[in-house]
Amino acid sequence: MSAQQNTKPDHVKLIKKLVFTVVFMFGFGFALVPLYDVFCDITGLNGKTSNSAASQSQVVDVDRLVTVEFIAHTQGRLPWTFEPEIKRIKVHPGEHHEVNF
Amino acid sequence: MSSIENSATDHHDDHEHHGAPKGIMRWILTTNHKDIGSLYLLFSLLMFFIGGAMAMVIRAELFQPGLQIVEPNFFNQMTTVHGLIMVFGAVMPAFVGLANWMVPMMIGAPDMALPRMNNWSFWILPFAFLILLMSLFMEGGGPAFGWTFYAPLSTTYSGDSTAFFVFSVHIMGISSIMGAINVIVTIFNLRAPGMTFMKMPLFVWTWLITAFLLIAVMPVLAGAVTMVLTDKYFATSFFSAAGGGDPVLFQHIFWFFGHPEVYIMILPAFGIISQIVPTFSRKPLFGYSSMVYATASIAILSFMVWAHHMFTTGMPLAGELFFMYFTMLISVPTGVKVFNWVATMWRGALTFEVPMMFSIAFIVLFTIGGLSGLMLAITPADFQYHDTYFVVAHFHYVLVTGAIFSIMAGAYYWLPKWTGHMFDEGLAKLHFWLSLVSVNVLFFPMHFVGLAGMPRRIPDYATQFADFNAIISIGGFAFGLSQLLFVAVVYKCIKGGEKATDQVWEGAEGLEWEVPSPAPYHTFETPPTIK
Ligand SMILES: [Cu+2]
Repeated sequence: MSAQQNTKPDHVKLIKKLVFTVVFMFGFGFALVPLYDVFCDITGLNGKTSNSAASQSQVVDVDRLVTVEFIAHTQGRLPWTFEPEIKRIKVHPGEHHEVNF
Repeated sequence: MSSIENSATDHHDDHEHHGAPKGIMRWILTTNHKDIGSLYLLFSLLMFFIGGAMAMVIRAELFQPGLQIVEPNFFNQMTTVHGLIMVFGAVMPAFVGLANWMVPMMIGAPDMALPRMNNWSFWILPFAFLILLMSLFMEGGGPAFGWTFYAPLSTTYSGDSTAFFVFSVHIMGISSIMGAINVIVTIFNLRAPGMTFMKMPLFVWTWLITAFLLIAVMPVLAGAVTMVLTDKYFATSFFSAAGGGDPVLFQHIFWFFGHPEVYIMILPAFGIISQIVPTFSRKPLFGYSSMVYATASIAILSFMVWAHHMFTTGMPLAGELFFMYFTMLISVPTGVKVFNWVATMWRGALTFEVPMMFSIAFIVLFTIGGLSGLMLAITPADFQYHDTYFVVAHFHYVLVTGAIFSIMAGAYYWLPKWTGHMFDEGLAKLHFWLSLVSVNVLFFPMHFVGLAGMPRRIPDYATQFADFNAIISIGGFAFGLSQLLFVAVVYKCIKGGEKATDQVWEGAEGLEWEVPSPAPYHTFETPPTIK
């Protein structure tokens, strides 16, 4: 406890422990990479996408009608005009449509 | 007491032999904890103004909707570098500076345990920030991906300056780690006889725990920036789904560092407030040991809450519940602290000197920041608040009116001890009141624009937010200008002023108040005896 009795070697022992902690935590940061995968595997939580394409619904829902509105902006004082040709379109969910800008 | 004064005057006599050398080399080669403390504090003040200037650019651009002053890419660089500078350049070095000055004096040690390393840990810091700041002038500009440098913004979509960003963060990390090791070794090995752990002042306790947090998480940050570096330049795929990695993994690693980091920036603040409130209440701190245990439990809990920053990444329900409850749990030890400060003031003989005014403002305003943090912890509500100005309001309340106000309080509290002069009380009070009013004009309306849906990190916004943003900007300019008063007070106090007594403040207790003012270059070369 006394400061007088604490000489250099005492420091060295403590510093070694602390430096080991630093190195260990640096390694731990990298260990999180495989640990993350393992954790997701075991628990089945989250994880990566399955790499298979999601199937798209081909059914057009004719009972519902949704309104889609289009806007466009140009940055600052650019000498352009960039606008949608039609401002608003009503479509059935699942339908394909093309709109020009 | 008298023995201390004797030994202190003894040193005064042989100042010629091992006192402060003269000229610039004194500062470059110094291994004296007081010199290095001053260097840290002055450096952090400089960084505070550089980071503040960037905040002024941000607020000037946001004064009106539309793009007026800067390009969006430059705006993004400003938000990014403002955050990095304030966190790593202003708040953290200021606390390290205070630790350097005060920790040895508070525990009766002659200096820090590792003085040469201390010199290094300061002097690499200016280079880190020089690199970061110079990258702003590169072709393509500096880092623009936010201070959180999320992948793939920092890997796939970042500019050439990213390598410099990574390098400078590495240097900052090394500096912090060396500083932390120094603090731990000093506190473990250099306490004066009789200074047991449970007799240590709370500033020393909170810094000890902060230092452990630093050595635990700064290496993880170093790992994260290294992975960003190799992903960007050396074709690894830690965070790239195309190569089998995962961008969400970045957020896990970053916030595993990031949440303890916020306690690195607030635990020393708790320590400072716990020193000041008893002094001006003329009562011992209420619940000393509960303060120590509360600090330790906050530190431990800080490792178990990181994913509350990631509720909107598509986490499973179990994860959301776990991180929500653990985050809320932190408010218990924090509440203990606020209760103890108020209980210390209860029926105390209060006086309202400037350090006390900043401390009381800290207690009230930090609690507001804590409360908005609690709101953000509620997972379903967070989906609404996430990435809005509500978050900006929250972390500025805990960092500006929390961390920065505590640093101001500490600076005013110890300034007479450092310089030997009392500061200009009138000017300091003006600084306090202007700061208090303007900081609330600046940050309080951000809660409302955030709740109304204004996203953060944007140079332009929908016109319904125009009035509030104009008010916020005015508050911002006022707060920025008010801080010049602080520089004036410090400058005047260094140059001269009424002579400070050794105790400085009537109710002040502790070893640092038993040495003369200004504190001599060497203190406690023979350890004091602790009652
Ligand atoms: Cu957090």
